[in-house]
Amino acid sequence: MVVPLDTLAGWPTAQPPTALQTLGLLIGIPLLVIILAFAVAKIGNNLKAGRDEAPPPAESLWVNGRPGGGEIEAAPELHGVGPDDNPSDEQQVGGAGARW
Amino acid sequence: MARVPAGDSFTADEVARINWAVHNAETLSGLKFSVFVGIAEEDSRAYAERLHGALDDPPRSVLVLCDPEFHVLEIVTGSVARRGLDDVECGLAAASMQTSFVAGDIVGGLVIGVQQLGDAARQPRTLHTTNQG
Repeated sequence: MVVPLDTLAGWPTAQPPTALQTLGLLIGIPLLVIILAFAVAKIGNNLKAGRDEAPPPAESLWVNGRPGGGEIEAAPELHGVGPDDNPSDEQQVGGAGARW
Repeated sequence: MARVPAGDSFTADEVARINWAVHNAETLSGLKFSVFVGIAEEDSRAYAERLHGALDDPPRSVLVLCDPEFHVLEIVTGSVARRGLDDVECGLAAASMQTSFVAGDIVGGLVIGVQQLGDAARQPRTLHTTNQG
């Protein structure tokens, strides 16, 4: 339904908008909203990426073991003794491993 | 993929939780437990065994190595520790830890795994003695 744009009695006559006002309303304001939404999303992504790409820690964590991150030497019982020389040494150490 | 904490990325509270689990496991089993979280070498098993060999009392020690960067877990048991904690039990604990690690919960996985290892190695209370006199 088309509503006639009549000026009501007692009201001043409305001035027709200029071309600049029309452009601002139809293009400027939507553009501003789009830019704001894009900026918010971009900043959010950058902050998330900054958290995810934190540099790996230089130090390792030891709980109830050797402190610090010094060089690890071969186990004393294995010095100069290869697995072929004494296969029972290999069997003395047990355990398990996994990847994820 | 989200990165997970390693080494000094842990908070004091998280380290305390791991310490608590290690202490409990040692009390239950009488073995010595150590946890290493950090970057392992390419041959992670050999590296874990070298770390284990460098501990104060390797035969009675259990080492849990966790490399969150390369998603590696190794459990090493010494010759004495292995008597009460066999490879199957270590494998079960590794599977439990793996489940938590996959979900990104490194600390939770370590705590659960160390507790499970301590429980598995628990020394049963002897209610009788061989002394006849």
